[in-house]
Amino acid sequence: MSSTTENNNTKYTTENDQITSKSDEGNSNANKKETKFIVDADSIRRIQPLEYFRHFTDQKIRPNGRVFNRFRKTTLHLGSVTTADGSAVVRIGNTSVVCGIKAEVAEPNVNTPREGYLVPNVELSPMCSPNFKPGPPSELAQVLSETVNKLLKSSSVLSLESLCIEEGKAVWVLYCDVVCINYDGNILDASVYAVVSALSNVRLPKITYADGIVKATPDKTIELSLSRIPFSATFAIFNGEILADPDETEEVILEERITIICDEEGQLCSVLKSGGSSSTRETFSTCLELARNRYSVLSTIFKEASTSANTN
Amino acid sequence: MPVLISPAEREYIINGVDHNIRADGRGRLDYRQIVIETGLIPQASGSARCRLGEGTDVLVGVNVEVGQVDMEGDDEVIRERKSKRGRVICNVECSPIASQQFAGRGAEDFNNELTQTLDRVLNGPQGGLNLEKLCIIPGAECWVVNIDALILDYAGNLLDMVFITTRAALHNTKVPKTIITKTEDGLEFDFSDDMEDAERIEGWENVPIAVTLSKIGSRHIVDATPLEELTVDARLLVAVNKNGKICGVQKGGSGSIEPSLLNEMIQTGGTIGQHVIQKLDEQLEREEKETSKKIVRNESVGKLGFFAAI
Amino acid sequence: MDRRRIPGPEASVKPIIERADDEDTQHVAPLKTIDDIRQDGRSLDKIRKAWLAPGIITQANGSAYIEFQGTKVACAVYGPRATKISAFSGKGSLNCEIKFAPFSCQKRRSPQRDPQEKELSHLLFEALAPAVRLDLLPKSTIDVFVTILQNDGNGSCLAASITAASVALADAGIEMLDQVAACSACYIDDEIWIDCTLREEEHAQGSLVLSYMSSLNEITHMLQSGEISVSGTIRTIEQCTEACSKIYSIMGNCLLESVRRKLEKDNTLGGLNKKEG
Repeated sequence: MSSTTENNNTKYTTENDQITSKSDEGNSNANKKETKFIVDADSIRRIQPLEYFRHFTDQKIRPNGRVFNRFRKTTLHLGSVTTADGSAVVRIGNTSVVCGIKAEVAEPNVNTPREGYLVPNVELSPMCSPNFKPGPPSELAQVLSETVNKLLKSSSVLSLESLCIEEGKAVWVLYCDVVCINYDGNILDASVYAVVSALSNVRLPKITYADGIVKATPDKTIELSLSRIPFSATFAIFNGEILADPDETEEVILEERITIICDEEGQLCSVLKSGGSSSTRETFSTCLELARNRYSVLSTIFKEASTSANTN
Repeated sequence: MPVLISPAEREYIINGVDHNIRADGRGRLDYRQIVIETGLIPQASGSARCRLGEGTDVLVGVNVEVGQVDMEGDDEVIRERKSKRGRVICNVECSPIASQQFAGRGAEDFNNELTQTLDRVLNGPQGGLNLEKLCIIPGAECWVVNIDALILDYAGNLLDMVFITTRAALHNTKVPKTIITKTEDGLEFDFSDDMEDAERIEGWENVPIAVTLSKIGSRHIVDATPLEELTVDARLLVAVNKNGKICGVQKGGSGSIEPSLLNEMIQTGGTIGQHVIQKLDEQLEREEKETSKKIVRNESVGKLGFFAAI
Repeated sequence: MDRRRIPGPEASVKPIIERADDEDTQHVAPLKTIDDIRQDGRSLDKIRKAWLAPGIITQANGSAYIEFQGTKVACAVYGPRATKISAFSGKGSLNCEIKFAPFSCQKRRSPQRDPQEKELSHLLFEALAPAVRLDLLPKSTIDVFVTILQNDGNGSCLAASITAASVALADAGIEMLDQVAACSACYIDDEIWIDCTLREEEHAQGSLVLSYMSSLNEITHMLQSGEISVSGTIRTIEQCTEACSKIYSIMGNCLLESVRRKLEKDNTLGGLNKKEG
């Protein structure tokens, strides 16, 4: 015997025989009135989240209605923050982040007199989610900042020597600050997309160095030349199934994740795998394939955004 | 410092204020007695200490030192202007002596609040001081006026006292004379250590003071005691200078004020402020005369300093 | 040394912007024309065009995003939630925090809170507290977080934060006495300019930020700095309350729109007939 309950547009079948009979036994001494203990979808979701999830994945769908390899709707706007030297606003589903780049001048490190600085930083403020408390950066924020930093350095997205103004005296410092407005999962993809897009949107003034003073022209025309344009794609693994772009509710219960970052030629920039058990080679190959497809989608959006930003 | 007030006490105070008789017999717009003394700290460029009634005690020390000119700003015109000015840095601290709540880091937020209020009024052209005169070498060196206020005892009406004491301390402040010489490298300056050569800081008479008007019931009072402060739902701080011009207004507290009442409070604040400045100046002048008479007669100029209640 | 963030160089400065000698004062546009028209085409007493959208942050109980052309502010409200304060209080507590994004101002701001932000947070609290029914929420806390994404005038940032926070509180369903609208003004050469941009503020001799509850006709907060006569202050308060009333109607319309949209969405999902209006 099973009963079906409808809750928020999702049909959910449960077998609650055993639960009913147990409560009946207990109530034998109490009033003889029959009390049906109905377990609805929402309760199952809280008590047994993985079970609940499995019921959906068995039907090849996720609780939020997406199929496995579908990424959420992604939008990109460049140059909306005029106080920043370059900016990008990224929305992946409900997750939205703003990256602003400020360019300042500093003395280079003594060991690397011709290299500028690229300083990324991801801020997860208490505004974007009830899970973040005010105070110093949480572990997640620190991990994200470090991941973006490593990506930019190891993939040589931007040559630091191109940021040199005067060897040993003055170099550009690009502070890339990512502020999360709404946290609904997959913040890594959004941050990487935002930082790389914002870097392409940076416009610097012509700069001259004389007698220890750095002077700039009022108009900003110089673009940065990026050697590579990496974008990332994150997947969650559940029961051998690959779920693309996990949102916040999925992130909480699915610990196993793979992130693949590739560039415009389909070359790998970075692979990150965390949590869960080991994954098979096939899983990786599928993820790489999906990541390359995702790249072309993101690349189209990026090109459109760039052209509309340049025409404005 | 009382933290709780009973409904009966609250009623008593509100009714009293309504009938223009407060708990200590004052009218709504009466101040408690203010005792001022200046020049008590010989190593500071200027200092003053004020005591209000039998409670609030504020000590202000002013130190003038050489510093860098502040050249922040995108607009070239603004930067030009700033490069020819001195600077004022304010700091207010509540000593744990005043109240147990101020021990450790308890007073941090409160200090920040008071400092920002003082800074907002004194930093800028409305602050009264002639900042151009404090510039030594345009674009490089200037005099930095460090105003440090220390709250030694708390019995209500803190900010008013801080401002009055600051004004008295600035009256007492002397800036060393600077001698600018032209050398091949540019301009160089030197200042004499002799205190006789020091000049009184210019513009002290234009420094504003603050009047805090507290709204109790439908009336407003001046100079609230700690118990009265607990019944207040909205406060208005009005900074006024000698000429009756408003140099700053800040509303505090968690209640709201009707616009016509707000206008009335600002006007009252303006009139009372001018009156207080007048009385304060008279007192400062009297004190100075006394001091110079004593010096002439070769008597020791003993400051009462940490005196008992007078 | 902040060990939790990626370290940059010890110190960095903005390059000094220098115009070529022949450009001179011709290219430095005046703040207003002879007819009292400002650089962006407004008259002295007009506020900038406002764009207001509630409900943009899905994770929060209530949220709002506001744009006054150059000033962009996002606000999220969480609450009422259980308070961490162990002492019993018959009234709820309102915790406000304002943060400038590092890229929001002309010079990059440190991600750590500085005294100016602490003060603005306190001012935001003072502006909202008279309007929120905290007495209905004992042992609870309401958290208001504001992030300023772009700063085009310090006064307008504070005013926009207060306005956005008020809309976000309404979006969260927290009971209030009235909506709080806020507006800023500056004194430039003895004239009152409403809602100034950063450039206009730099030339101002004083400024004023006013928060006003339109239906109750009460001022919840006022902050004025700079030297001005008593009559000047009173005139500015009048002009600001008028501007606040305009902002108030914009806030009301936006909230109604958002409720209408929510109702339509719910109706469509439930399969019921579409409601009129």
